[in-house]
Amino acid sequence: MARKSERASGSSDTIAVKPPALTDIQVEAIGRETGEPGWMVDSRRAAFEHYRRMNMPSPTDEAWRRTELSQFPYSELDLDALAVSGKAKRIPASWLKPVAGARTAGKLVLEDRGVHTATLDEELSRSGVIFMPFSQAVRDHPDLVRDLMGSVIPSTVDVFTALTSIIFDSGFLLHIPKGIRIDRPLQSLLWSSGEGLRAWRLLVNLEEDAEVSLLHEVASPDRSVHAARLDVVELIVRPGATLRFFMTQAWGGNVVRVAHEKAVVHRDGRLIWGNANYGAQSTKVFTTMDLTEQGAAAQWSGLHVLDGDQRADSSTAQNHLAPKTSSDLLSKGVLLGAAQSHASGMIRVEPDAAGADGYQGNRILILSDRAKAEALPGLEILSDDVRCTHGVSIGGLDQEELFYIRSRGIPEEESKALLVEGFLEGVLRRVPEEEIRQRVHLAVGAKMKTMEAGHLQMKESVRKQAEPDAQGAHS
Amino acid sequence: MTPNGKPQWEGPGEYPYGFRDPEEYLYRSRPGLHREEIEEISAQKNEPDWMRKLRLEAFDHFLARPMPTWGGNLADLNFNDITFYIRPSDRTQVSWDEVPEAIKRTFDRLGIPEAERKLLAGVGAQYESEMVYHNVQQALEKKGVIFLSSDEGLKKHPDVFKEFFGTVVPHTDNKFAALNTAFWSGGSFVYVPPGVHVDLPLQAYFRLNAQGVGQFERTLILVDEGASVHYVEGCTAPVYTRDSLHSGVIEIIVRRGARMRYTTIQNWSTNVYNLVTQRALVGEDAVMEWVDSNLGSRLTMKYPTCILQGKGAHGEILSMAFAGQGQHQDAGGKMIHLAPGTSSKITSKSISKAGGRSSYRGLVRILHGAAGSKSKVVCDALLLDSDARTDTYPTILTEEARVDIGHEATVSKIGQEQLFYLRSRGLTEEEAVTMVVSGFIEPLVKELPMEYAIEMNRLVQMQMSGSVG
Repeated sequence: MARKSERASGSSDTIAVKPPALTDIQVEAIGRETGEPGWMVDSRRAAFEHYRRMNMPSPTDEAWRRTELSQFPYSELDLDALAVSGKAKRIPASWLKPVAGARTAGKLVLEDRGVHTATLDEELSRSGVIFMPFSQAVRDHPDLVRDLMGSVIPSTVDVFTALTSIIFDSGFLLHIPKGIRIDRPLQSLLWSSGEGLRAWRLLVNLEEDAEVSLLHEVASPDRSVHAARLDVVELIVRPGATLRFFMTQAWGGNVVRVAHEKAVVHRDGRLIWGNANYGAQSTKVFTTMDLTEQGAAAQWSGLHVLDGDQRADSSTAQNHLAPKTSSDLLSKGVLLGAAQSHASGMIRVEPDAAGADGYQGNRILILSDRAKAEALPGLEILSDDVRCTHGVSIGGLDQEELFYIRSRGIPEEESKALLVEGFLEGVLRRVPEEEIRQRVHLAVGAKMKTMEAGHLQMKESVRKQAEPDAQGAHS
Repeated sequence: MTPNGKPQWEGPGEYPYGFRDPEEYLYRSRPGLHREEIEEISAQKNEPDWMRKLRLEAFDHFLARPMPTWGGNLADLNFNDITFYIRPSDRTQVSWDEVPEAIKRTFDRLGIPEAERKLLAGVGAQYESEMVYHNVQQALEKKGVIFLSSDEGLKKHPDVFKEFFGTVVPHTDNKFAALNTAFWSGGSFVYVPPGVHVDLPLQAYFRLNAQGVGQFERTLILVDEGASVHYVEGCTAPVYTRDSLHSGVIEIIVRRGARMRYTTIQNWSTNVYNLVTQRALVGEDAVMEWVDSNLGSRLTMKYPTCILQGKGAHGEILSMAFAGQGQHQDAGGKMIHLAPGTSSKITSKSISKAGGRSSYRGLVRILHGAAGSKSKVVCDALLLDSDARTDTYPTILTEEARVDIGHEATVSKIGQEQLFYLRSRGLTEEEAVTMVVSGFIEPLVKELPMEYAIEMNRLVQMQMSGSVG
């Protein structure tokens, strides 16, 4: 992980939050139920050994002081919630539409009780491409998984990575062998409708000169019971490889998400990465890009549209560890209702990373007086031959622009929606792959429509309208 | 800083103010943190009882409060080595002739009396813990302008002093504000009556002479409605192997329609910890400007603050930091918007070289109700070599939708093309680098009174000399 930033931390008052209670019996049961190999069960046991000694983060830890862990009953979350029959909800058909129609090179749909769909173009499969649920990967490709799982984000980072390593029961492995370049997108959906605590992990490994685009969506229905979703996303981009990875998050309004995502980019590797967030009650996401070798480049694009009492808290790190590395991060957010957005970002340039070029941009549009936005864009530069910049802008709609559009005879609400769309256009344009871009665009457009319908006022979750099917209806 | 006279340094790159006087004092407290010494200071100053009690309360707060773990490295700061109070003379003089000879020589060498005659409306000079000289032009005095040492302010205007003291920076604000409240001595007490414009700057000069000394001046400035004033402070100290501590507290109130500028040219020697709290309350349509240049000290942690509490209030911070070998400048500023239509601007320029580290740490906060507020922050950092380091730690927080907040930061190496161009015109590399650096800080320097601008450029040139191998 990135070296700890030296930002100020708060006072030393602490509110103790207990980590979820886990017993040996539960940990053993997870291994037994999944029927996975012994080494995998051992890795869960090892993570559990760490977990026992770990505490929940203190609210005064810089990275956690905006996350209300104390509001959430982690210790009461039920790991066995899904085992109660009838709890699982079926995936709405809208989510199952292929992103690129027949061009979709492979598709994975993971639901509450296991694998719903797992397809991969036969030719790709023959050439050694692996795109399969984790549960299968640990049996079919044990050496690969053992080698790579936890190599980017070890289970020991914090209590949540440890917990994820112990309890995860979903997720997948994507492996592209050396030199294989795939010009059609892959797609995955993770549907997790239950209450309680669940975790998934994703492992993406691109060997030298490989190339692929992947859209990953996570979603669940709105429910009234507490649910927590943890995830660990590990991305490895080897020399000369290109990974385009975009994720959309549409968890139900009852979900708290805690996520650790990290990419390691090697010599001349390229990473085009990003996410769109509409869902969940509260999210805390750590996103790290390690540019470990000369010429590595990463671009990250994020957009979030939040309303009601939704909270999004992101910590990003762009770590330049080698010469001539570049990073470019752009995040745009729209806040309605009493939504809150916190973005803390750090560009760090290590002493031997001469010629580094880093950018961090954060733009927030606030459409309600009850919404709050916070941005903490940081720079830590230990090398002189660099060019690093960051920019933040926070504000409401431009009244002159609004006046101009209205003077053309367009009603006020529609004018506002147009301006919001214009605001997000700059980041939508950066979403990789035409088909993925369209899908995200439609989802955002749908959310805008609901804002329009609600006179840009606070509404409880409008996440449903962001489903792919509903997009069609609106577009 | 010598606003006018010639700096007397031995050679290029040398710190010119490192000379020292013999240490002959009227009173010198026992080094370290002792409650009895606070009682002693209070007794020697013959203070009212409320002040004595407040000092002791602040001392308890200081002891109870943990050291900050953020910002610079304070691990080597040992309070047991610090002498918290040194009384160099028995009273504050209004004539240079009556200042003790040795101290006067020091200020002569720094060019202060000469500067006063030429370009200042009033001068205060603090040597160790006490103001040894304080004087203001008679014409201003007749208009009701008060410019006294804080100790005299407390004696002559006890009611105003009591009403004002600790209201902008309470001792509970931070550990070093508590330390200052416990041991404070010296500083200026300034009052500008309604509608009075003080055209020439008031200046306070701070000098540390002894080894391992602590200086805790307390400055209170009240600018009444529609008035204006510019206050300038400069700081130097001899170079010692043992560290000294400067921990001032500056409290300012700028009333409706008034205007205040507070300029600091901090050039402490590199064995001084400079941990200062500066804050202003800014009223309706009033303007507060901090011009903060940090060239010296081992570690500076200083974030001038404007609390924009009146409608239409405007705050501005121009911050310049130069971090050379062994230095860490952790500077920046805070803007707190409480009222509608308030605006703020922070411009930060930092230069790091030879292992020096400069950090910008800032906060812009727009609270609910401050609709229509605007804020702009621009941070530029220049790195002169590969051992230097720079950081930017801004926080931007808003609870209002109808606002306009912008923040930009840039870090870059000195431009090779600019250097090449200048060198092709026949400049040496050192001259070229110095010129680029001068251009970089120009937006700040041009805000200084001319004499100070000249001095600032000279100081930067000195910092730069020998910087190109």
